[in-house]
Amino acid sequence: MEPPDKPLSTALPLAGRNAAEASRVEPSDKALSAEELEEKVRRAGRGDEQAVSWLFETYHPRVYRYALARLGNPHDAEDVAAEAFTAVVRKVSGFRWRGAGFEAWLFRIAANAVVDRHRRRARDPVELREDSGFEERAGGREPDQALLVAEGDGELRALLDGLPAEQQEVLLLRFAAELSAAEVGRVMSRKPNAVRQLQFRALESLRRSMGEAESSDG
Amino acid sequence: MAERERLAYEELDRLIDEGGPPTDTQLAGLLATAGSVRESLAAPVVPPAPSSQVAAALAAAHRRAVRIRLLTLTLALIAAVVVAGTLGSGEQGGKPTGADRGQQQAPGSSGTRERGGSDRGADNGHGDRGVPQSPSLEGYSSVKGDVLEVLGSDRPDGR
Repeated sequence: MEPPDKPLSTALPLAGRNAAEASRVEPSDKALSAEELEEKVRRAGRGDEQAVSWLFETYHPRVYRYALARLGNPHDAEDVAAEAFTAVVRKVSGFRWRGAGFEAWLFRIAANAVVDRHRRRARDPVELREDSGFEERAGGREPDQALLVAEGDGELRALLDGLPAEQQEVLLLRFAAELSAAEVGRVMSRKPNAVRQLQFRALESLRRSMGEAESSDG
Repeated sequence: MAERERLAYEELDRLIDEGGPPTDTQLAGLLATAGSVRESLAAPVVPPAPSSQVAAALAAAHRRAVRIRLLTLTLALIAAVVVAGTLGSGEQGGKPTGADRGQQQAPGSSGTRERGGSDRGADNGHGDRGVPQSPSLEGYSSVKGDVLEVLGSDRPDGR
């Protein structure tokens, strides 16, 4: 069995974020070994409430961020995260450690819940989107700074939306769900190298588009 | 894919995970873009408190675990009763013969094979699994059905 994905480090340049903010998004399973995670999942499967709570507290923020990134609406994201965890709690006793890790399994459930939500939206077009998650992403910032973040987010969001679906999914799973390339590969049924290639091309495409946007603004 | 490209993909991935100085300007640019994406997607989003749906699911999971434990215990008790009954009737019944060798007898069978039983042919004592004929085994089958229903058909693929 492969170890669980290594958490995304905060070594990445984080322009505009202070250390306190960075520490808030660090996954809580940073020091957990593969065996410890397996044990937690086993215990959760046996109905151990503490283990289930631990899984929820550890993974809910990441599932929520991933759902928010894919749906763009905090209410939908909250629903999807709840649906995903309901499914996880219901199915965890049947989870078996066969190659694919727990996180890949969890995020596949979350991805399916997102797809279901998209379908429901398509069936029910009158559903109102009250906000776009601006307050969620701007949380704790001064109003001026929050506005800049929102504008920047909006532009980046539009550029992300313009990427091919697979490239978009790789970036969301890598940066919102904080999965490693290997785990993303398991979620998407792709090889890690194929994921790295998609990641490279997505970032290259975004970089080019951002450069074009800046030059047209200037 | 070309070896040089593959190395570049891996190097970018490593830098994203582990940090460190990028080896060329292209990687530096991509890393900066990755930083912006990460800042946007993994910004300090504070997820809401667990919804009542999730809380209910957690409680249900606990109840389910307790139910499974109770059913397992019941199953073990019934199995013990069945085994005890089999041993008791085996003493009264006749000696198993021929192809019955090694086959556990159903209680009340008095050592004779019932029509449609599971031990047809020369199975050298292994036999097939037949339909339980006695009332006590039917009870066992029913409880087993309950257990299977509780365990459900959950699959690890998340669907």
